[in-house]
Amino acid sequence: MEIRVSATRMQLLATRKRLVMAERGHKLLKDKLDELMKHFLELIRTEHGLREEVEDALVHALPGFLEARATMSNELMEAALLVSRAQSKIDAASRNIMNIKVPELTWVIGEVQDVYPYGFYRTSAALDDAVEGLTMIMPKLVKLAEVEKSIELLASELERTRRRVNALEYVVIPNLKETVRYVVMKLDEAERGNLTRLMKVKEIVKEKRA
Amino acid sequence: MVMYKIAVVGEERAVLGFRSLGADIFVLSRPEEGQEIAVSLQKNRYGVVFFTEQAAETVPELVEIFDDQPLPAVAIIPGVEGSKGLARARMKKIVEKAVGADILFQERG
Repeated sequence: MEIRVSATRMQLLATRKRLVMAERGHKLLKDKLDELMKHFLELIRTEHGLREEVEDALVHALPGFLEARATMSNELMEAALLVSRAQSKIDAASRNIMNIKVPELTWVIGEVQDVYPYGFYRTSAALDDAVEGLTMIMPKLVKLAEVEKSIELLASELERTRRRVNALEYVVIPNLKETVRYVVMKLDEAERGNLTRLMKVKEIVKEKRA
Repeated sequence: MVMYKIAVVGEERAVLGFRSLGADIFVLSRPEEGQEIAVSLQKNRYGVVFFTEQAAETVPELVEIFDDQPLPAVAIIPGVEGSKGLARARMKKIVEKAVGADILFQERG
């Protein structure tokens, strides 16, 4: 469907200008899309590796707590974990990927010498192992969350850009091209009509003189 | 430098361990508790929120409430029963939405 414009030379020029602009925008957006996709795929690959590592480690670490629980009384275990002085914090900065702000997170464990929040009296060794295991994978877990968040943010930008590229490529640019064609044809037709009229007039004038 | 807290949401057996690291834990055993947890998650400033697979299964909406915010970062972690591939399914959905096709996971299963 072409855009309705009056078939004049001025409209033709204006439409051509719009077409050039749309094509330039399309090219730029397409470049942006390619670049976004590159970053996106890179992130996805990172995520995939991290995810495997983390899940493996967690599946080993978490049952440790169950084991500890089996060897200690419930109250003791909860007491041991509740008195934790450890203060896990997240230090958040942000990084710029293609003008999208993505978080950069680091895990900070505040001012404790040892991660075991409890005394060794009456707590089982399994608990120590479990806590240590969890501490070890924590940085990776945080990194994983960061990467997944980045993927999410990039994904929505990617989707938006893809829509705009498609709209330009399949709607705006074809429409403008069609319009240019329509105007050119209309103008040509008018030109031809004018020419024949002139020829006719010339003929009549000639006849009258003769 | 801004410091944020860590939150872990899940069944008691799985989240207990995170207590020792000083993370805030939310025990989620029934779907009705989801709303309450959502409110406290939004009220506090968390940098990272972890959901166990069980929690993500019990209240799926909870995982999505931060989708359009830069923080907190959300990740699904396997619970004590091991991984059921919920996190992977979530990533797959995101990739499909962004790219329009499943480009990555098909060859890896």
